[in-house]
Amino acid sequence: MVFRKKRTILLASVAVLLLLSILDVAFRKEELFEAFGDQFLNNPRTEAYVKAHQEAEATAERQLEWKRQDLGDVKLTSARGRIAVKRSPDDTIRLHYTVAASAKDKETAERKLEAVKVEERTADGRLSLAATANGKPVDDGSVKLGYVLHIPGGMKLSLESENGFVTVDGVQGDVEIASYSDILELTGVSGYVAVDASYGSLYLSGIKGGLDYKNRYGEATIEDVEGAIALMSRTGYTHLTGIAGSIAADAESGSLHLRDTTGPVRIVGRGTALQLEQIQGDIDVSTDSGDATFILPEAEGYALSASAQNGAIRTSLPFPVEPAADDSGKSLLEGVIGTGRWSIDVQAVSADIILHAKPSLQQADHK
Amino acid sequence: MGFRKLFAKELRSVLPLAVVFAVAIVLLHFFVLYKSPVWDDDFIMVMSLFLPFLLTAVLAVGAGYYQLHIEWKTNSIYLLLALPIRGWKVMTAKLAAVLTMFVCSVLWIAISFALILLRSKWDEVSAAEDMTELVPAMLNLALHTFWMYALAVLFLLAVVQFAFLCGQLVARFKGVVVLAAFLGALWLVLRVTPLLSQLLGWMPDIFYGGASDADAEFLHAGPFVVLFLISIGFIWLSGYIFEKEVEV
Repeated sequence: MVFRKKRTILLASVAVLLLLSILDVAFRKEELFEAFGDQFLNNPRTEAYVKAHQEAEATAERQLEWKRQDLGDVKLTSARGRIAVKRSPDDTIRLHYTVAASAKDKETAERKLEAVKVEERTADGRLSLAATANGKPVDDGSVKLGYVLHIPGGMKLSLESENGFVTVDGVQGDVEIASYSDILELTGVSGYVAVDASYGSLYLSGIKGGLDYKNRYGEATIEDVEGAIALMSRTGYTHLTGIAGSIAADAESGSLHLRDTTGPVRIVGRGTALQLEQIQGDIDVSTDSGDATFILPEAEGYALSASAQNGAIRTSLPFPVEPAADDSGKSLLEGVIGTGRWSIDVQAVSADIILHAKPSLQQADHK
Repeated sequence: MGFRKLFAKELRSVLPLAVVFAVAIVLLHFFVLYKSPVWDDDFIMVMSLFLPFLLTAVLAVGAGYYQLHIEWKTNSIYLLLALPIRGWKVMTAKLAAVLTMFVCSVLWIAISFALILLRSKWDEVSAAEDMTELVPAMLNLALHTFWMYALAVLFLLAVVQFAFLCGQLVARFKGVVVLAAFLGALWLVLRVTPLLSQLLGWMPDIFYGGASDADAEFLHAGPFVVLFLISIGFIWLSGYIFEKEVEV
């Protein structure tokens, strides 16, 4: 009996513990886990130690200049730096850079500072600039670099940046940027722009000359571009507004939002949420596992042809959604909005097509 | 069969798993080496270090459960119960064998990584970092992280053993009881550890150093000691249940 009694007590204890744990987690939620985690770190002592061992810092500002002559291309490479690129008022390339080195004591900080310099290499009309410390690339968290580069008009700019903050403004010439985990702002560029960015947050505006943009796991807002846009997106979130030129996009996961563009649009999407509104141009969209939403102003006029397999076509437009004659299970919609000026061809697989009509202003006022 | 013989027997039973895992790790590291020109450095670290370390802990906890499960399944539990060895010694022998496998696997992963992957990247790494400053900090981080990780695995193994044996107290719904015991025990530890740790506030702190002074942290030793003692408590309790209460 004692045997069975002890067993009963044990099992009852387990049941009580389980019940208490459910109630505790239900009411206290993450507090329980925070309290467990907080007990490990000695916060006051850690903060006091960090404060007492604040590193000594040494800073310097330096400037380099080159006459343009036979140079056609400037390339700057940076890790964890701030880069600002502007147009030079004359034919001189200027690089103004600041170096901040931190270390346990002032003497070591000064020594680190002296070791850092921007090395230049010229080959085939390209001036390549990269910071080194004792001949090795600078990728040390205790050394921070900031660059201001002035580049003459008509020169090509190439940038490679990681974990930095990059602004390019008012440059006349082609621009090529390879970016990793940066905040990137590019404005007022007259030339062809090619951006290959991963894990970044980008703002591109006022580009005249076209854009080739590769986006991996990043966010981008692109507006006021004149020229063709080629976009490749992998789990990226991209907004395009005010584009005058064709748009060709290949997107996987993430989202793509086009608004107020002029020119043909061709999109292939896989798992990408698409939204197109106020497009003045022919539209060809093929989407798999990503819903496509269209906002179509009546004033523009569209000839619609939509088909959805394993998905629905949802619209308040007065066009019937009919099953395909070949028993493929597709839903089809065809119709003309307004003058039918632009053609819209949408093919969706495992995704919905949503069509909204935007009445013209006159009609809206009348209502 | 004494404790040492029991430990050796348990070690032999987990050896095949350890060998297969070791071979898989080497193959994984060669695969990562082959793909390293294409993959990001962060992804390489995840695939070659983080994932194997995580997997070795999962395997250790799974092996701890399976050790007990197989005793009942193959009826060798009768032999174990008949032995003149205290229950807590039986549990300790099993746990020690799995922990030994875990420690050896962790070391194997580190050695394999160093020989296959780090060697090919050494020039690049040493060029980018000041090694005289980095090595002591990295050693500090590695050693402390290792024993903390081992402690976490020891704790989980002790709780898994306890939960399994609670399941053997009943004839039906064993799985439900195992799960309930596991969750209940975890909750109890989450609740009790902060209170008990305060009693050990007098213990010296652990300096958990980073690559620079700004990255350094001081950790209370008390919670780790409490976790260790609780693990011992669970091992003793499991031994008690094993000896006195379990249905066979």
